Amino acid sequence: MAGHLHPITQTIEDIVRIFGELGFSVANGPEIETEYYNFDALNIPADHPARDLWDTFWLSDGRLLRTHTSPVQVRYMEKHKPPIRIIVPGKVYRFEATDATHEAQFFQVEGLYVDKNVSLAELKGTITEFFKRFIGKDVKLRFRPSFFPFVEPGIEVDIARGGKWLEVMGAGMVHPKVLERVGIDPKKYQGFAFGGGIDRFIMQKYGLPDVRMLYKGDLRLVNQF
Amino acid sequence: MKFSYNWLQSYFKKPLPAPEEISKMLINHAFEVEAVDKTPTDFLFEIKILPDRFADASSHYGLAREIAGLFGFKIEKLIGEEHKGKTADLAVEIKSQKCRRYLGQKIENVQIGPSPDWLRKSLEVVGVRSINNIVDATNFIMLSVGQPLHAFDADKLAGSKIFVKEAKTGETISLLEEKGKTGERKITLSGGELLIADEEGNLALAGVKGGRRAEITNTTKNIILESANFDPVSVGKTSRKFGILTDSSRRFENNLSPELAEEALILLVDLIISIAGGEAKKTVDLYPKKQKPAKLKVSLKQINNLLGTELKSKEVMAIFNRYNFDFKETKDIFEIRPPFYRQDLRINEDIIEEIGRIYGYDKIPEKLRANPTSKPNKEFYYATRFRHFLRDLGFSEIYTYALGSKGEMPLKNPLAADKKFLRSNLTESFKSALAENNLYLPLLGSDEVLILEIGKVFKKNKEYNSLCLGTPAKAIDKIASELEKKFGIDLSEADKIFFEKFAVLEINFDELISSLKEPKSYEDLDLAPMPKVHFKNISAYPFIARDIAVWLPSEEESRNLVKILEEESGKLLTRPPRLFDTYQKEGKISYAYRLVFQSREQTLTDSEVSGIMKKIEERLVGKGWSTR
Repeated sequence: MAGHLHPITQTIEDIVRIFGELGFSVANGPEIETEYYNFDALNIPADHPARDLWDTFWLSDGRLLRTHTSPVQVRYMEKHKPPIRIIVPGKVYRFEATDATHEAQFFQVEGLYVDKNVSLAELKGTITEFFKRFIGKDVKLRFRPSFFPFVEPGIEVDIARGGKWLEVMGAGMVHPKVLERVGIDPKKYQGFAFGGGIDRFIMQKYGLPDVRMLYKGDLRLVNQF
Repeated sequence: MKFSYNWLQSYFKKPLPAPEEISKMLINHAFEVEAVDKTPTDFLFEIKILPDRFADASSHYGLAREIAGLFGFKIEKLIGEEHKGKTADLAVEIKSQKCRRYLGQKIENVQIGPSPDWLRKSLEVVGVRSINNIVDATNFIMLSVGQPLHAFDADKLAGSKIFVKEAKTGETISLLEEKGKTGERKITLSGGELLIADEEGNLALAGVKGGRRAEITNTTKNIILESANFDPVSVGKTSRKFGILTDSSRRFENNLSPELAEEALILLVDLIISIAGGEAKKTVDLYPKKQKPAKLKVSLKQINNLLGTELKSKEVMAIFNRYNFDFKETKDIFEIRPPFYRQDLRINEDIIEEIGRIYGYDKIPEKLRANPTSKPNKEFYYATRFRHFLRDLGFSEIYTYALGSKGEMPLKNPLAADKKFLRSNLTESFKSALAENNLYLPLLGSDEVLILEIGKVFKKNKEYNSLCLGTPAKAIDKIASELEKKFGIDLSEADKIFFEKFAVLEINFDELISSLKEPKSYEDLDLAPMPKVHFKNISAYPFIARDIAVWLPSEEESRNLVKILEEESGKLLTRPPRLFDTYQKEGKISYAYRLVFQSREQTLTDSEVSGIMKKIEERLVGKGWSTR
């Protein structure tokens, strides 16, 4: 009798499959990060109130547990020239009290596309196409203004579900300062980035009452998938 | 932040659209509106002002300005009558660059007392407690235009000079208490914090919290008003260091324009004179380095290139006009001077964002590049193949916590005593996962626990993906050799432990796959869409398992047997009856099923389950079948 793969794995496999069809390759990076890759390189300077958006676990050696998959953007751009089209599924950490909808560790998927003339229209096209293949052809999306220091313009993506809008992704056009730092000329190249939480999505799709169930090693959950 | 609909309306001659309509417009073009609540006399918006817009939009007039721009409405100018005496009777000295502007003004002979009804109600609607007319006036103007303001009791000052200076190490200040608390709150400064002081001592923690010494009381007669601008980083550091996050500190932290301070003081003095009387003295205004207006030059081509639109110059200009941006256009190139309060607009992308969001992200077309190609990732490829292979052998995959009570990499700020370290292996979590899942075997409809995980572990200065397998003790060697054969790998170096009746095998996955060949594509992976699953929540109550074996005359009857088992067990049956044994003798076949009972509401008793079993047996007797 065959066993079961964890729902997070199954979700990531689906995401990788769809983005692969859209031309995005998987990239990885370390879970222990430096302050530089997690914050500074992403235009989040020390002592800036924007840092409060990411509650951080620190190690005693001054490094930290990545609070998002975005540092992989920077690491990848340092080593590769445009065109760059990657997605980064991975585990991230937040220093916050856990409850039914919050866990100190969770999974995100990050995306980055840098090339000549990559526009916000392509951001919309790519994300819309992804959700059509991921959720269904008639999925309804909403793109609205938001703020993340490493993008400009900054966008939040919502999907319609049960008469409500649910936040599923943060996105935007890569901030020129982020490109400059990795040695990509922002006058020649531009691009978009996006990122969303996987756990919360699974929770909503399957009606899990508690996000923490995903990390209990409990087959009573896993074997239902 | 809370916004009152009536308060917003007060800045417009024409009636505003309905609250829901304003909410929708704001969500699509500016800010997330988290709630619109009806109060007996008003509507209250709960709005998440974005960090980059906090300085200009976290006030009623600021938000009204945004609404005016979005709907194309005319907003009334804020008019305050200037009150100025011949002399200031006040001197100010700025001794630190962390103070970007300081305006002070004295008012003599104010009548302190309760606020007029309109003022008290305006504050209460947005959740601010009314204190007295002077303090209320400072809060009202702050919530109107966004400038934090402070009032000192002038008679409690030593002399008539105010200093803005940096603290020396070990200096102290006694602060106003937080809401609902009494007594003194004395803090010791570590040096460098910005202070408001007089000849004798400290009066306030600049931009964060007022001090006790010159607090306004019922007997206050003469006041000094402060409308200042402090360095955002300095205020942020101080407020975080002492854990004093105030409405004022949050505003300064987000880089308020120093230009705002003057207008706010005029409005404040005018309001105080009208509700508390008094004679205003001359304003003192120290503004060492005037804010430089930004100047941006952006072309229509650049705008359309980043947004992917085909906007015309006149559409862009219409947006600038609605937002009162000072601009010049020559041959599709715009020179823009954003208003002083929009310090967030510093690079061209900032302006392009303004155009994009105001034009509407919903109107931006969707484009997709044709025929893109992607490259396979080795780690993802092999992790997926290993998982799928093991799944087909009967393994289920678990994800365990990366934080635990043991490890080599300690956290500086752990959440809990049992989560002080990053895990250095997966084996530790697998021991408990094996033991726990072993208890649930009847619920899982399975005879043995086979589990796997691929996840990061953390050694001193090294993190890597680890592969871990948990199996019955007797099964591990066979599985290991199947893996070795399938992937051409060597697991002889793996860590292997045996405990109770289980075995756990763990090995560095990154090293394991390093010699395997690079994948060419994901084609052989069989990546599938997310499954359609109707998830049933896990019951917190214990289950009871019962076995029943029945002699049946033919194989066909087994279906009827299962039907009877299911009918009589009803909702308490957690999963379909599981056939675990058949046995043939003298033309009859014995079918043995395991039934697992569990309630979602309560702990089942033995007698409840026995009742069900009795009913089942009665039905079987009726059929002429006997149990073994």
